[in-house]
Amino acid sequence: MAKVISLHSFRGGTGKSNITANLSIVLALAGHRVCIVDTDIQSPGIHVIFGLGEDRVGHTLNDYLWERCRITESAYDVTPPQVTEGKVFLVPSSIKINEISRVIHEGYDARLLKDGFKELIQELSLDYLLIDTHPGLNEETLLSIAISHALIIILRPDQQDFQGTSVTLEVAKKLGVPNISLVLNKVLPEVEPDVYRSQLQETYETPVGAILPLATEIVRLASADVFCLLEPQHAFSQEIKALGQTITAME
Amino acid sequence: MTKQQPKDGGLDSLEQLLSARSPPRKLPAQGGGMSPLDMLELPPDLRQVMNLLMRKGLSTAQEVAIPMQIDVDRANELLETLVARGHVRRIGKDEQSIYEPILGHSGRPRLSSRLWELLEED
Repeated sequence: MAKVISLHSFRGGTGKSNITANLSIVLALAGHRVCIVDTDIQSPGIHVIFGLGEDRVGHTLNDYLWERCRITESAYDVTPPQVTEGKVFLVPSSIKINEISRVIHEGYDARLLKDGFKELIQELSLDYLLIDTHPGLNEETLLSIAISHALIIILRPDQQDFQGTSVTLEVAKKLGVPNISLVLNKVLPEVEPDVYRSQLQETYETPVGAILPLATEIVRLASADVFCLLEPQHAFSQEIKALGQTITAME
Repeated sequence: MTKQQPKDGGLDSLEQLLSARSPPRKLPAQGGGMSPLDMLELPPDLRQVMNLLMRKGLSTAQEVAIPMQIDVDRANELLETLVARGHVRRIGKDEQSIYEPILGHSGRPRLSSRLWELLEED
């Protein structure tokens, strides 16, 4: 059975889309079929990491939500050549101003989104559906969390993130998410990762999926590509790989 | 043919004009269905049932009873409470019944869909 995994952060700028993109590649390199849905409709961006330019994008998630197309018509194969057995698909959101403003004003039919996830899983024979959510808590994000088999909460070593993560965790527990894990991103290299790992686990009583370093190489890449494909031996890539293994071991 | 203009410039007039040019799209019902925010406000046992249905989709009372570690009669009771509240739909009768969660719209104010099409035009 395909697993639905939401990647969420309470605040913006945590590196959520970058982690989602890298995780999808790690899962695909292990031979799995993965689709990312960019439900961050208000501020989409993950398509940039996959080099999916406007010239290649016809239909988007917005078109599906306004019933202009089937959701599979808005799914693009973004599998890089390094992936030989698995597949990576991406359902991008529109970057057109009127499309974004419409979502902000009107919202959308949650039933359509849920049905769309189901259709993607069936039609693309997926093993994993990754949902790149909008930061914070709104109804669309809550829906994604409510239907997910796993939730990965991404945070930085920042007091505001720590507080927001508590709120997200409380909601996720109420919505009965079976597997929840934390990913701490942008950790200064001089800090021992295990210190954070034990502190987070103790404070939140939640497993820590990865401790990711703040790396100048990633900053320099500036979302121009998927980092773990370029630097597979880097500590960041190794931690993402371990996160992927945790996910594949999930019941 | 002269181009139509809203007579008094108000939003109501614009809506009327848009409706006249293009019948409004059939919108999903805003009542009855459940939003995830509503789920957070449910009592724990009802919320647990909704959580199961949201992830699994169509389920029988027995499929709800097993993970919740309750008997089928209690599962039926909880499911029927959710049906009565309009959060769940029952398909079929008696032991053959299958239950499905009903999701609603997020409930933001909606303008005519034609407005957004017009924004795309020059």
